[in-house]
Amino acid sequence: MRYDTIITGGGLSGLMAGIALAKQGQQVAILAKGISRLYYNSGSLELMGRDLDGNEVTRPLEAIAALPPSHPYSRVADVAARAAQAREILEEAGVKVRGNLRRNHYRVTPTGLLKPAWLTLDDYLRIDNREQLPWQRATVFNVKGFLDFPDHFVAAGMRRLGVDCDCKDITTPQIERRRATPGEMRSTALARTLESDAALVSLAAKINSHTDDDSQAILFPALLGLDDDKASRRLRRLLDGQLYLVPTLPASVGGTRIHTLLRKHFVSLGGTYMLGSAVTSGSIDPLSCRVLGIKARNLPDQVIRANHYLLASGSFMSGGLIATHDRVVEPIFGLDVDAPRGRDAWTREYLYDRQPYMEFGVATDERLHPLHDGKPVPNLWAAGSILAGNSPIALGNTTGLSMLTALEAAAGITSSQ
Amino acid sequence: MDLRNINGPQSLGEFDVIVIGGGITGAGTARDCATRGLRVLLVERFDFTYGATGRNHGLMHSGARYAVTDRDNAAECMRENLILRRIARHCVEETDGLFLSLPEDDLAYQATFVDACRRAGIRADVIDPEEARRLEPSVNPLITGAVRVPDASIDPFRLTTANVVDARRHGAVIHTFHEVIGFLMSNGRVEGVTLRDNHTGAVKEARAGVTINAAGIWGTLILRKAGITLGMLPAKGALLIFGNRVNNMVINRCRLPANGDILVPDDTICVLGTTSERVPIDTIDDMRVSPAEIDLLLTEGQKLVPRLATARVLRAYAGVRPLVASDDDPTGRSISRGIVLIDHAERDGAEGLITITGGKMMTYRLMGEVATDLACKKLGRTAPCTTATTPLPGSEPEKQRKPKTGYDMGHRAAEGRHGNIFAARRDASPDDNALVCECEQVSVGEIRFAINKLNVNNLLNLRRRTRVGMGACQGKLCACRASTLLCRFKGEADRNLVELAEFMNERWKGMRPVAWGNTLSEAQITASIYADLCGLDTVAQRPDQDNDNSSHDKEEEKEA
Ligand SMILES: Cc1cc2nc3c(=O)[nH]c(=O)nc-3n(C[C@H](O)[C@H](O)[C@H](O)COP(=O)(O)OP(=O)(O)OC[C@H]3O[C@@H](n4cnc5c(N)ncnc54)[C@H](O)[C@@H]3O)c2cc1C
Repeated sequence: MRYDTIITGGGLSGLMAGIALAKQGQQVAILAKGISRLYYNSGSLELMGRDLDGNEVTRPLEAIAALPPSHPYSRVADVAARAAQAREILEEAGVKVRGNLRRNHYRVTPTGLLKPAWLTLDDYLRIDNREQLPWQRATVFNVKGFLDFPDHFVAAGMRRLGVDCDCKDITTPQIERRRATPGEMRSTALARTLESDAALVSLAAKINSHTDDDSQAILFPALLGLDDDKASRRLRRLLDGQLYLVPTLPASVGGTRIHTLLRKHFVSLGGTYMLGSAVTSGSIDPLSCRVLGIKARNLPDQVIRANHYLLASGSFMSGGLIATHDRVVEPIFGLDVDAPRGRDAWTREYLYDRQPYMEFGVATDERLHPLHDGKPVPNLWAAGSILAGNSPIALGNTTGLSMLTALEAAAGITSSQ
Repeated sequence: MDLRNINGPQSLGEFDVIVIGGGITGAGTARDCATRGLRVLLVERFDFTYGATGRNHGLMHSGARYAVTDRDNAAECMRENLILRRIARHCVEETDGLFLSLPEDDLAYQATFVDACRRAGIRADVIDPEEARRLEPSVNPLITGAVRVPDASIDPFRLTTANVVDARRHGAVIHTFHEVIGFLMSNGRVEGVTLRDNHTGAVKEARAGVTINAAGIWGTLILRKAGITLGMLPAKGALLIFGNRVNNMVINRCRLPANGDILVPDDTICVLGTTSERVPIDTIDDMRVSPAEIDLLLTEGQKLVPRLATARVLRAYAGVRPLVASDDDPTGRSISRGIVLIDHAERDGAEGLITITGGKMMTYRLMGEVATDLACKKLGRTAPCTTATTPLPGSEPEKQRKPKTGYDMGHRAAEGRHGNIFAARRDASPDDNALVCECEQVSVGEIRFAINKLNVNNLLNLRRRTRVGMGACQGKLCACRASTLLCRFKGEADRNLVELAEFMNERWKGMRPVAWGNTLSEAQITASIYADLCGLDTVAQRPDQDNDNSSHDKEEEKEA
């Protein structure tokens, strides 16, 4: 099988680009290794949360425009148009989100803090105006024995916003059966349990017995809906008060939902999603500087070829970059990496300072072609967290940069045909 | 009426003995004094094991390492080694040790070594290299010689906790976060101490017939407050922790003690060390491991155990050996590891003051014994020492041994950590059985137990008592889980949140010098969870470089 485009990396950027290309009628294969960064997702997607000076961003488009040309966002010609395209794809895939491109809202973190966001899953708690919340009372319900939801931190966060808030543990017979085995009390296992209607009905009865009036907000850990939002819609109908989901520690049920819906959408458009096929190597012709083909772990004897290749293999945590004890390499093609030699300069002493290593990545030209021995590779593009020059955590833009650079690369691939 | 109690510092009371320092020496001395019927106050400026005790190698020497250079000391080690196997069995893993010769080592040294061990009363069996490879498959296959000795692995945190628990059972009053800032003196006689509460800043005082300075390397600074000079030789030692346990026995190099020649297995991990470098006394509160030290340790360690080349380094840490200066050898290695007991009445004319220092962690019991003997003499008391025969809490013989089957992993791990003081709590409900830390098998029940019984106020205390956050994941999820439980059992969510942010910064401190390979990827994941997902970067308070007491409680430590 010959593909038009092969994408290395099955995370948010690989999927976004894959969908955009499949929509153009391309034959696309995504080779995915394992879990992606969406595993750690908050149920929100952000464009830009803080500027380079650390100030909170209200208007993300303006903050992006102010970034220096070395920042990978500057490779995206029309940020607003790409953002609109990303949102359209999310909606087509069935990812229901709310948010406004011109103005950030706040997402509520698992520890009850607020971070700026662009889009938030519509069954999640979202705060538009921190001075004025739509309710004065809330209860944080947690599933008894579920340790990955810092309920008391969430309640404290609500109290800091002036909400009268306390915590309650609840359980159902279905959950109690799980509790016999301690390892089963993890988010994704519980989310499977809470797919059954009996479990939801019993959960709703418990919650309703603790809520005396319907002006009260019901905050519940995001344990609903690995594949879609059916379970949370069902629960919402069964409850007296307003239900809002609050993200948990990983694994992220919301992130899994986003990933599942995008993957299904990609496949329904004719794309091939190969999970468990880690790309092991790729060869670049020294003369033409073009990619000749790649190899994957599960097909060791086969060279897989395509007209175009997209590298969306992520940063260190996803294996897209590897640090040996004195240098940083891109392991598949051996691309040029923007990172100093010698690890003294990679990190800072204080954890929450901007860590230099977070900005390491592959160097690209203006059109997102990575450089190999200083020369751009014309049939290869790079997108997402593998790009050099971004500080995703400090700037609060991990998901936005992934989606937008992926769509920009996809547009480049389409127009190069 | 004593007006000072109204207007001056708050009084903590009158005691027979005040013990300064919550390391293993202070804990062991407090236990000994308390079990001999003395009224004891134990004070520690931060948390137990904050000093060298929390930053050492965890090796229960057979003494073999010192047999050639210091026979008395080696023999002392061997005697205490046998005692600790009985009284502290829940803290000891009986692994035995190997002394290996590599092709570049002089095999003639092996004969000298074995002879010296035997003279010191240390069993030392020369075994065939083939046999050594079978016993310990991780060793370098090229070894030319091997000697088996009764080394073992010992857990400093458990050992200290067990001594503290027993001291308290015998009536000792214990205050952590209380720093000695001066002495109460009259006519040259030490009558007690002035303390600062490091949580509130309040100044307090306590009185006693005898004050025992067991503050390790800091002891020299404390003595200055009584106008006494004691030359101590701070010798820094760096160690590396690997994320999995590659060896089952302690592995030593059979040569004169040098850098990076011991690998000690410890629970689920192993620790490579050490280096030795003399450092200025004013740097002892801020020990960092340099890239050069790491590279040195790795190079030497890989010669003994080649698999270390690919094993993941979890973190690096350093401690300062509390050695008393006896000559000016710059490496600090030829200094005697011997115990130093000073009666300041004799040496300096300061009646009522004793210093106990030097030695090693594993000779702590003997140190406690000699210090208590002297204190008793001064107080005119005659009770005999029983610490060599009475097991520590956790190692007491069980009346009826319940079968080990049928209760869960977390409980078994906790029993390992706390011995049978935890076994009483087998009332485990599903709530208590849930695991907070998978790597270290710490359950909710154990955390509840530690909060209720083991002086736990924050996450750092909890880590030192339970190992939460100390395993391969370095707190990736369990730190947040444990912190939520602290809120649940003790309240104060806002404070706990800031402390969680700081705790993760502490984990980072030890990871940073070894941040490459998987350690760097794991660091990125941890940052994604705590900073990006949870937003703790928005509440973290940047530690102030100078003048911040609380930041002293946040340094990198053993297996942290
Ligand atoms: C790198 C290294 C490796 C080692 N390896 C081993 C080994 O494998 N086996 C072994 O047996 N030994 C080993 N040792 C030696 C061992 O760690 C020490 O001998 C032992 O821990 C000393 O215990 P301590 O209680 O005397 O001192 P510390 O543990 O340093 O305790 C002193 C305490 O006093 C407190 N303090 C200081 N000032 C004040 C004050 N003003 N008021 C109140 N409290 C105060 C400190 O906070 C500290 O907690 C090693 C040492 C180092 C540095």
